[in-house]
Amino acid sequence: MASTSTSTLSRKLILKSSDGEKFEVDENVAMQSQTIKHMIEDLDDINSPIPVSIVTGTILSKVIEYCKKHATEDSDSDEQLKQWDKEYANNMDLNTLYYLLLAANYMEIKGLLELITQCVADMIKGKSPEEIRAHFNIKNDFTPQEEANIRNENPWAFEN
Amino acid sequence: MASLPTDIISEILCRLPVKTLLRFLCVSKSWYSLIKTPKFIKLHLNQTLKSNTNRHLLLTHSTLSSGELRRQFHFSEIKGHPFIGRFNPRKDTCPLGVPPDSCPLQPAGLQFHGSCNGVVCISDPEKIDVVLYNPNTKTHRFLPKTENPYPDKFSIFGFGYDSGSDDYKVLRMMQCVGPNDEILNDARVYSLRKNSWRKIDHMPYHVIYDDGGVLLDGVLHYVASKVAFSRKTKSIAKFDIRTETYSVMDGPDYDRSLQSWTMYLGNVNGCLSLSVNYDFHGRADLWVMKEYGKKESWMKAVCIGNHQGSLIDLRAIGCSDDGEKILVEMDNYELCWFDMRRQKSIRAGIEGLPKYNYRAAIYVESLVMLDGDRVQSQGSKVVSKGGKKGAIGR
Repeated sequence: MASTSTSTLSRKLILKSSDGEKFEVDENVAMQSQTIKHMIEDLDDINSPIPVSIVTGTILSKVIEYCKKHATEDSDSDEQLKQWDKEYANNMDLNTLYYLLLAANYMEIKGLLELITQCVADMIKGKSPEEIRAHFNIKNDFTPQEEANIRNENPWAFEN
Repeated sequence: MASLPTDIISEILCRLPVKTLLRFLCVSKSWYSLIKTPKFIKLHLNQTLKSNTNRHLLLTHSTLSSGELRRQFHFSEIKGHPFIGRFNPRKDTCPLGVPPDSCPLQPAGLQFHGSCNGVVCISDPEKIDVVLYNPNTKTHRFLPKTENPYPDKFSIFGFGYDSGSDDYKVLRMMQCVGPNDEILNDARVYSLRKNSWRKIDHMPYHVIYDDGGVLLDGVLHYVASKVAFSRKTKSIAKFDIRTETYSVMDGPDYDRSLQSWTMYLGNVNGCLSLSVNYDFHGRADLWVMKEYGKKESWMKAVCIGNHQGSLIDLRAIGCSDDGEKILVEMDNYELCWFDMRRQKSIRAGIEGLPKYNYRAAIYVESLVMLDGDRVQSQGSKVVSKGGKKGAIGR
């Protein structure tokens, strides 16, 4: 284990992305990820880089940005933090959101996962099935007759 | 966006309103299956309850047309702020389509007994044919007939969800005076899971106003008296849906100097409320119990005096998202937002509502399914094939 003379707050961890980029972060920042928290518990040498295998450097830096903000929540009110979250999510393009979702899910960061899923939900609310298929790259595997039957189950859902 | 794992898709979809989800059923076979699984239905409902979204205003009303009294269900979305602008009943309300095609109830004279998790409990005026119905999924369950020991007598209903056994239950109580002035009592509970009625101990208190029972955290509340048929000592009688036991608690210290009052319980953002109507004094007070079970936490939130006209009938319907305004129903024909801080009321401004005789309630939408013969057990780990009937969600 690392030296006991340093406090938990000042301990640094190194996270390594799938493409080899390394990030030095405070332990309390990294610990917001349940996955990393569990990894540290099993780790003998805290100074060796912790692999975050499916997350690229670009995405990991965004994840760390979120974790840093939420690790120092004392400085902001709930309202300010909500506003920050909103701007953070609104600045992402769809592709980034997609990889952030996968990263938040893999790294088990509940707050980030909730934020991004809500952001995507707000984007797709009220959209048509055609738009959703295009959005999520989904193939329509219903026959025209099957699709018509489902539409007829709840015709009111298709009114604007 | 490339395809996402199913559990992430679930996390996104559970944050959407029912209407959008019913539309997304035809995105693909896998989305259809996902949205129809009991596990997802539960996830969606829990998210809805947690985030306090997908709320609607449920109206039951009678309109007199060509001499025939009709009751219809309509709902329209309730927003955190007063309704602004013109309310178009055709566009903004959706008739619930009661009765469903296969349901033997007639739309004329439907009785509403409460709603919970998207399911409404309704019956015919005689309260013999009782139906649980989810207007969103258009599924229903017709309750089996149960023995009626005191025909033609007054019965009191209550409806709610038992989180302990993941079951929906209907309470039917009969409290009346027999031919020799004796008190007749009967109480039965219907379980959706078992699809049967069971006789239980009767309530040792006497319900004064039958308001369907106000549901709060799995407990039904009624204005009742500890003394049979006395209207003087009013208390709040409770029926715990999970344990099927009764208890009683005190209401607020309301002004007892004025006579002739009626009282209605309500659920205001998860707090029990009690409106005290001094019928012929043009005055009404609305009390809210800030901390459940604490008598000293009853607070007078709304006070209406000098009401034009002698009769007043105030009921609390709900609360705005910021918790500052209470939606109240006045005299059965007007919905108002009451600003607690300013002690002022503003008309909710819903145009196109029926002029008289409607009752409003908050309705939370869900995908809960009620049809089919079997009610499957739905643990959190259950992953069904989807699209099957007979599952209840939560």
